[in-house]
Parts: sequence; C-alpha cells; structure tokens
Amino acid sequence: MTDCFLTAENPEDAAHAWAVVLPVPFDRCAAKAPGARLAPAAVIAASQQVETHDLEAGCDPTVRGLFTAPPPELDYVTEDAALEPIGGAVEAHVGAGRFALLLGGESAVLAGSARGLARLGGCGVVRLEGVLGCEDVRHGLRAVPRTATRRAAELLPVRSSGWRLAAEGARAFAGAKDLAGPDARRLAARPGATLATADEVVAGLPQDVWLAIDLGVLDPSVLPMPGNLEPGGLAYADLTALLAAVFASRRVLGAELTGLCVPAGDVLPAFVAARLGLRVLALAHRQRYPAGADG
Amino acid sequence: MARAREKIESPAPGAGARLPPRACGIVASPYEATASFVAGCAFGPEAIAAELEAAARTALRPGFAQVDGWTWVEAHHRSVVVPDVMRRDVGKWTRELLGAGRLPILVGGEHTVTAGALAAFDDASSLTVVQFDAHADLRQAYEGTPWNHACAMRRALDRGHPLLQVGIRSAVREEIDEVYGRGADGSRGLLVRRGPPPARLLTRSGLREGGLDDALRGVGERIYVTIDLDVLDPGCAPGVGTPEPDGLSFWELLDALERVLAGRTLAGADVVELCPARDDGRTARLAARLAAWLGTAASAVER
Ligand SMILES: [Mn+2]
Repeated sequence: MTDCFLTAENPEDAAHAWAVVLPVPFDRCAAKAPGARLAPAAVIAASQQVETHDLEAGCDPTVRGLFTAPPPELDYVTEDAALEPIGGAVEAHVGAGRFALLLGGESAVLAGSARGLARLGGCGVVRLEGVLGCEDVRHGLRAVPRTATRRAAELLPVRSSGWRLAAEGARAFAGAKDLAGPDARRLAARPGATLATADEVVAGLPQDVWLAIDLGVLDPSVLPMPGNLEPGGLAYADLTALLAAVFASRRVLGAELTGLCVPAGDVLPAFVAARLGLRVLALAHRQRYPAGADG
Repeated sequence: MARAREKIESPAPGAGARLPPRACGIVASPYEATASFVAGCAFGPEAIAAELEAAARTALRPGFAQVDGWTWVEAHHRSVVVPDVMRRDVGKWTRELLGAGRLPILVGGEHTVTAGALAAFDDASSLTVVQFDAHADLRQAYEGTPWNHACAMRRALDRGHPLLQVGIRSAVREEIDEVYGRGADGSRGLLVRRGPPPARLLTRSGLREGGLDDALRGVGERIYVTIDLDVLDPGCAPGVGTPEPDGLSFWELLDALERVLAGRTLAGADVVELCPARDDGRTARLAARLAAWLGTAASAVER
C-alpha cells in the first residue's frame, strides 16, 4: 500500500511537483468525536480507489506531479509546539510556489496553517465549516475547531461560511469583526430558496486566499460519520459549486480538508474526503494551467 | 421467487394466468471477479430476488402495469469467476428469453455481466447501449484483464454498439483520451465521439444542467439500458461496491429513463453492482423497483 495521495508513488522530491499533500493527524479536542488523527491515512488509502481524471474540472491533477509529504512530528506538550510544525510546512511549500493540500486532522489545524501563511505576508481565508468557530477558549484550549476561525482571524482576514452551529457569543464576536459569511441555510440549494452567492463567501477577502474546508460542512446524508449528526448541511453539489465559484474569483494558494472522523467499517466518508481532495486539486490545477489542462 | 428455472416457458409460481404478451424475464448473474474496493456483489441477485416479488406486485406509482409471469433464471452459480463461462451462460439465457419473445432484464453481479447479455444481440450497430453509471468504465484493461468491471463499456464499443453514458462523474484520463480523443474536456458537460461506433458521455453536471435532450439527439430507436447502481447517490443507494458522492436521486434517474425510452424500443436491460454487504435493504429494494420498472413500465412509457 502506498503512502501517496491519489498516486502510486511520489516524484523524486517536492520540487518536482506542482502541488504537495500534507497529512496532518492533528487530533486534540474535536468538536464532534475523536478520530481525526486516523483520517489522513484513511483518506490516502481510500484515494487509491479514486479515478484521477476530474471530468468537471477537465484535468488530471496528478500528471504534473503530486508529492505527498510525510506527516509532521506533532508535539502536544504545548499548543505552540503542536501548531508550529503545521505552519512551518505550509510556509515552506506555499512559499516555494507549490499548491498545498493539507489533509487533517481536525479543523483547528487552521490555527497552525494561518501562522505559516501570515509569515508569508498574508492572504485571506475562506473557511467552510459546520461550526462558525468564533469562540475564544474551550475546555481551556485555544486551538480547537470551535475557536479556529477566531485564531486565524488574529493573523489573517477570514470569512467563515456554511455553518449551522454557532454559540451566541461566537456569533456576536463574528458580527463585530465581520467574520461570518452566509450560513448553511443560505448556501444549500432547494426549490424556491434564494441562495447566497459565492461573492458573499469571499466578500472583503484579498485576491489570494487559503481554503479551509471542514467536512462537517456537509450534510449527514452525504457524509455519515460519528459526530456529524446536525441536519441542514450542504449537499455535495452545493459544496463543489461553491468551490468552483471561489476558484473563479480568487487565486487559491492552498487548501485544507479537515474534520473527517473515521468510522469503523465504512469506506464512504474517507472516500468522499478523497474525492473532494481530487476536486480541490483539479480546480487548482486548472487555475494554474488553464490551457492544455494536464499535458 | 422461483430460482434456476430450467425452461423459459415455465411461468413463475403465483403468476397463475397466461403470460402477458410482452412479459419480461430476469436473468440473474451472481458474477463477481474484479470488484476492487468492497466485495460482495455476487450476493446481489439473491437480495434482489427477495425484494422483487413485493416490488412486482405493487405498482410503483399509479398507471404503471403490474407484473405477472416473472421468470427467474439463474444463469450460473456464484462460484463462477471465469469471464468466458459467465458470458456464455448469460448470453445463452438472454438469447432464450429473446427467442421466447420476452424482454430480458439482467441482474448482477458486477458490471462485466453486461457483456454476457449483449452477446445475445447480433446486430450491435443498431442497438445503442445507454449506460447510467458513476464511472466511465471505458478502460481497455484493468488489473490484468479486459473483463474487469472498469472495462464494461469499452467491451460494448468493441462489439460495435453505439454508446450513451449518463451521469458519469469518475474517470481516468487514458480512457477518456482513447475513446473521446486526446484532451477531451468534460467540463462542458458532454463529450462526443463520432465513431464508429459513436459515443457520448453526459457528465453528472451535464445531466443536472439539463443536457440530456442534447445528448439524446441522434440516439437510435433500439436501446439496451444498463444501470450501474452507483449512478445513484450513496444517500439513497448505499449498497454498492464503489460509492461515489453527488449521485442521482431515485426520481432523477426515473425521469431520465423515461426521457431515454420515449419514442424508443427497449430491447434489454440490466441492473448491476448491488453490494448487499454495504446495504441496509434500501438499495436491494431500489434495484428490484428498477428491474420491475424496466420490465413493465418500459412498455407503458408514452411512445
Ligand atoms: Mn459500472
């Protein structure tokens, strides 16, 4: 079994790849249920079953070289020690001009990637998560999914959309700082509904953005997994349409895919995560190489 | 449900009366040799059989004929994993049904079984295969064999069947390049190959955006419909070996089937890739509904 996302083997090194995949098994205090530390390996295993020509994006993002890095050493003694290697890896690869796809881990990894992105001079963050993420501290911890938007906002301009859970205080804070984009109800397609536009998801963000996608933004019918029980999440097509629109209006430097809680015995959630990873890479590939997609 | 009937002429138990003039027959092929993700589709026909009688007795919605006179033939034993044997046996029973004036409906089994049913039709170029599937299934060979389920539609093209692919959302570059031409771009929703044989691929997005009528332009009068259950969304059909997100809803599939059948003759059909190991019963029921619908409603669709 290979350790590479979507491919059988890595190119010689990351310098021979247009994009790098960073597995980050960060699992400290999940909003839903523990298990995110097992997610990167599960997603990589499932990705071996993914057919890599993305019909909708019209390209195969593996052809120009996709490098899957080894997971960073995460030291949980302090929050800083756990987050710093994440920021460092993002900084190194994005700084070298490579598209970075981070495979979490829980959505608190954003507190780490934001550090690296801030050191590179900053960019906007488009966050798509089931929880708004604007609390300050939870269980005495500053970097957990419910605080991730706020942690990133301390360093970068952030907009969090697609949420369907938000503590009252978090909402007030998001309102005051203009961190909240449209919620799930305004993004989920259904007959007769007036939907928010992608413009609202990226409003106020600079041209360069980082895409922070937590799988909890999807409806339980799409992603049946422990802890993803809240009704009203996005359909898969809602999410992919939104992603295409974000790519159409912003330059995307990289993305993170978090919040997969690997349930025993079901292949579907990890497979859905792997498919989404392919879509993100394919959209990024099309953005960078618009003509002759994958030649 | 009667199983392994020796003669097509025998009506199924309970049917009692004479067979309707255009009755269908079910050919079961519990063939599984190449499932690479989740195994278990060899148990598909068994699960469908358990649901089929209920599905056949109850009209799916008002106006559709009920099914009498089901014939159930198990084409071969589940232990058969040799593609030549499967194709010979499925072909033989399909031909028998056709000879008896019945509409053959094949239930799988993996998608490779379609090749068995198609072998019963001699005039490939005048029989268009309409495929509902998440995957393109156009590979020349996969994992060492041309009879892998990922090659099912490539084999249909090899026989000379015109092909219409609907709802596709998974593919590899080589197969698209080889069949639709190098650099063929699915982002516009429809891929077209002039042929011979001609082929069209309507992506999942292309279908959602209303591209079916355009894709159907020029499709012939006689069709064979093959339904890989993974064309459906895993939310309504979880029991497949290779679930893919963003699939069709049940009604979306039936709407599309009606549009495909309108003004055309259904010569045969199959429902494949049911994987009971991943199912809670709803996918088997759905597969039975589809088989029953194809066997009855197909002839009731407005011409
Ligand atoms: Mn198939």
